[in-house]
Amino acid sequence: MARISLSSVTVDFPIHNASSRSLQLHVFGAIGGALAEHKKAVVIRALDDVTLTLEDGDRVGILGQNGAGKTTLLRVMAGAYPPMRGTIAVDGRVSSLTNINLGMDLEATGLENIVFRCVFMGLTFAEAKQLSPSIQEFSELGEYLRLPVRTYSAGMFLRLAFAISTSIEPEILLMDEMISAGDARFIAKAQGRLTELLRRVKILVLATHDVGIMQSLCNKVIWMHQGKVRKAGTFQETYPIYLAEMHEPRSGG
Amino acid sequence: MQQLFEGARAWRLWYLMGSAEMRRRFARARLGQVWIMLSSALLVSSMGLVWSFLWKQPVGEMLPFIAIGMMVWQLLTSVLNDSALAFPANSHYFLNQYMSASTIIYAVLYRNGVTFLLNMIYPLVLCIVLGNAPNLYTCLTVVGLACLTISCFLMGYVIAILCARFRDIVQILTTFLQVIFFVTPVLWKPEFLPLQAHQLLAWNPFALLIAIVRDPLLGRPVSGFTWISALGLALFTALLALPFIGKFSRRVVYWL
Repeated sequence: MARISLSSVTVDFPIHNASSRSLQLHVFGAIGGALAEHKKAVVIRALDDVTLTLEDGDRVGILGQNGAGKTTLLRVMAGAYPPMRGTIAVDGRVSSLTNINLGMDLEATGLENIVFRCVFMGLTFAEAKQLSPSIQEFSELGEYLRLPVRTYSAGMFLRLAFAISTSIEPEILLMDEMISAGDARFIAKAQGRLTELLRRVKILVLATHDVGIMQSLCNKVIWMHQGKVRKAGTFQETYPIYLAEMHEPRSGG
Repeated sequence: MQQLFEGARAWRLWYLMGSAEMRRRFARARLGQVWIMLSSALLVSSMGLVWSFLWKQPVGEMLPFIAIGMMVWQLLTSVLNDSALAFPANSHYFLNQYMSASTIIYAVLYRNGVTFLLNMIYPLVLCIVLGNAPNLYTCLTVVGLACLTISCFLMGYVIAILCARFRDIVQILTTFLQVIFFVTPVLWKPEFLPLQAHQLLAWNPFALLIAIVRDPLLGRPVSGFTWISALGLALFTALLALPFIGKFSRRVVYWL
C-alpha cells in the first residue's frame, strides 16, 4: 500500500540576495565597518503547517495561484526538500516527472540515454537494458537512436524523454503540469500511454492550471493558498469556491 | 556519516554524472581524453626540463619529481575548483528528486580520479625510463593515495557547501590556490629551502598531501613524521568536516 503523510510541514526559503551571498560582506559586516550593510536574509514561508494524508487510489490535483506553494509541495513529497518543521512519511516508490529529461546527456546517443534516464529513475543498469527495446519501439526514433541526442530536434528529444519517463511504473507519481510530446499523431499515442500510466499508479499528485484535466483525472483537489492548504475535497466542492474567490476583488486580507 | 554512505550507494548516479561531464568536455575532440593526457605530458616535460636547468639539478631526477608533483597538484586543484561549482551547476538534480548531497562530490572525485590515473601514465613511464626503479617504498604510494583521496573528498565537500551559500568563495578559492602553488614544493624540492623555512613547510597541508604520493612513487623514503602528520591531517579534516557536512548537507538544496 502506498501512502504519503505530511504532518505540520513547514518550509521556509531563505532569500539570498547578492549581498547575503557574499562572504566578504559578511566578514565586513561582522567587523562592524560601515563598509557593508548586511541585513538578515529575508525568509519566505513556502509551506505553512501543511498536514495531509494521501492513500491508495488518490488522484490529487493541486490548485492554486503562482507562488501558492504547489511546486514546493511536490518537491517535499519527492524528498528534494526536507521539511524544516514537521514530518513527512512516504511509503512506496516515488517517481517525479517534474523534469522528464533529468539524467539525460546531450553528448550521448539515444540508446545510451535510455539507460541513463532509467538509472536516474532508480533502475539498475541491467533492468534498464532490459526495458530498453520497448522504449526504443515506443519512441519511433529508429536509427536516430544511434546518434548523439544533441543532433535531435527539440520534438524528437522530448519524444525520447517522454518514452523513457513513462515506461517506468512507480507507485506514487508526482507531476508539475501534464507532460506531452511530439507531433499531432504522436501526441495522441503519448496521451494514451500517459493515461494508462496514470490509471495504474497508486497515488497521483498533479499540480496543474488546466481545469479540464484536473476535473477528468482527479478525485481529490487540494487548494493551496500562500503556503497553506486552504481547502481539500472533491473537485465539485473545491473548484467553485476557488473560482469565486479568485474573481472577487480582494477584501481585507 | 549516513549521508556519505547513502551517496556511495548511489554509485550508478555519480558514475553517470561523472562520465557525462567528461563526455561534455571531450566529446567534440577526436582524441578526447588522450588529448588532455598529451597536453599535460607536454606541460610537465617542458616545466621539468626548464626547472631542472634552472635549479642545476640532474634532469633524470628533477623531471619525474616535477611530473608527478604537477599531476597530484592538478588533481587537488581540479577537485577543489569543481567542488566549488558542484551544487549550483547541478541544481536541477537536487530540485527534482531526492539525491544525497554527497553524490555530486563522488561524481567530482570520480571524474578527476580517472583523469589523474590517465595523466599518471606518462610520469610513471618517465620514472622507469629514467631509472627510478620501483622499490619497497613504492608500495606506500597506495597509503598516500588513500590519504589524498579522503582529504580531497572531505575538503571538496566542505568547499562545495560553503560555495553554495557564499558564491564569492569561488573566486577567493581560485586566488588562494594560485598563491598556495608557490609555497608548495611542486616545482622545487623541500631540501632547496633553508632549514628554518623547511619547518614551516610542515604546516602546509598541500605539501604534505603531495609528498605522501610523490615521494614513495619516486622511491624516496618518507619520514615517519610526515606519515603521522598526513594521517593526523586526514583525521583532523574529518573531525572538522563531518559535523559540518552533517549539519548542512541537507540544507544545501534550499540555497540553490
